[in-house]
Amino acid sequence: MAENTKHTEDAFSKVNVFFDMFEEVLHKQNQQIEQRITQEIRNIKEALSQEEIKIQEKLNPVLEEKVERVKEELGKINNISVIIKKEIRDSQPEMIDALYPIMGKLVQKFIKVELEKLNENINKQLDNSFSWEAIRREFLGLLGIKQEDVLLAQASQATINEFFVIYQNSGILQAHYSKEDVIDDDMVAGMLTAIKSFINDAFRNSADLETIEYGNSKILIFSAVRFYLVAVVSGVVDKGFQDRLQSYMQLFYETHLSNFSDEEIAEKDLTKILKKHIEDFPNYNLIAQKINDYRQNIKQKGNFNWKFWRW
Amino acid sequence: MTTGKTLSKKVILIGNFGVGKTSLTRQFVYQKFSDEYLTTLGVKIDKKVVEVGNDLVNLMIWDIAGEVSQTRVNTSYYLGSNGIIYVFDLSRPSTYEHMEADIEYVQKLLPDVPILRVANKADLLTEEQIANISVPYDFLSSAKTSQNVEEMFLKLTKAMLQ
Repeated sequence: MAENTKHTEDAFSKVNVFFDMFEEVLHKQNQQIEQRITQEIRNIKEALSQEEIKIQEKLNPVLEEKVERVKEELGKINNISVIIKKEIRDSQPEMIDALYPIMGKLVQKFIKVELEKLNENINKQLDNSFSWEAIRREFLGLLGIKQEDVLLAQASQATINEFFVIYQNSGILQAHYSKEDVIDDDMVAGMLTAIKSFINDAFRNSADLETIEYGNSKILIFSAVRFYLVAVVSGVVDKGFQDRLQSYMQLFYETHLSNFSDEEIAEKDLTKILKKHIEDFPNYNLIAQKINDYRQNIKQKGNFNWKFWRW
Repeated sequence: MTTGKTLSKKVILIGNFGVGKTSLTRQFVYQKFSDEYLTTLGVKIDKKVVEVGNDLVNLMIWDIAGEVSQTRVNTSYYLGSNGIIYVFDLSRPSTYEHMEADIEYVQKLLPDVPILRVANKADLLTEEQIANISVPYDFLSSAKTSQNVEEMFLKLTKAMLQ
């Protein structure tokens, strides 16, 4: 039994020696492989850096050339605007020839539309052969004024498209007349008041907004104490028309607004009254205007401050 | 269907920059005009029709940009107002520090005009934080969640009609 045990122990020790040797061999092999790999990596790194240098050496001249070319191109672009300006200055007739087809068409279209409007207005007047205006034209014809001239003058006459009666401070709309519906009359009244207030504040109340122009229309403003009146007018708005309208606005203000309380005004159908007034405006001629202006002067003299006079 | 009168009233929204005046208005009305007017003119106007009893009230809402200060705002925008809403931001104490002085200044320009103090941006604070704020207000609002937006305009409208 004891002999058997000793035999087994010898066998185990021999196996152990074998494994130790095997392990040592493997370790040495691993070390060699590791060294070889390290060497390989070192070689690759060296080769790469050399390649990089080579690439840089090859690329640098090409890149420099490209950068120079880009700089040149940019310089050319910067000069283009200068060249264009010079070209326009030097060859104006050629530029006009080039632009004419575009500009010409635009102008042509505008004139066509305006002529159509004029034609429509003249036709309307001619259709109404037995109107007061027709008799007036005949009468003026007797005085040597050509009917064509009268028709042209009447056709290009300014017309009131919108009319607003607005509270001066709050911007609240009291009455509105419109040929066509505007976006929202209350909002327009508010924004007009804001613009007017802005102008007053900006110039410290030394100026009041009287006219705004946009496109083919003019906004004429008549400012009174509690209210201000706004007329949106299209057509030819000359000085005569403006004076006539201002005088008419004043007349409207005095007749329907200035002597009445807010409650009394609210109870009136001001929009209906306004509509009638706007429709009657073409008949508010020079004579009526002069009578109204004269009435105004008398009224102002009547309000003369006698208390001050005594001083 | 109403059988009563139709009235128009001007309401101004005032308060410091960024307190949410424009957002409150936007929440209350359908806006037709661009907000750009606010930066160009310093004011933007909107309209909302409110029904009170048998009457219809046209509320013209003037959203005024900038701080309530004599030097910074066109005071003409305040004139003719029938109601005032002073808005402040609950999350920024600097927006309500001068509230009473601002209100006193506006009331000098517009005596006897009803005024509402509105604490806006309630959604940014917890209930506990809100409870700790000592500044007085009539409405706690949020333009984001629309909390009390309709209610405050309706209350002001009723006050204006009295």
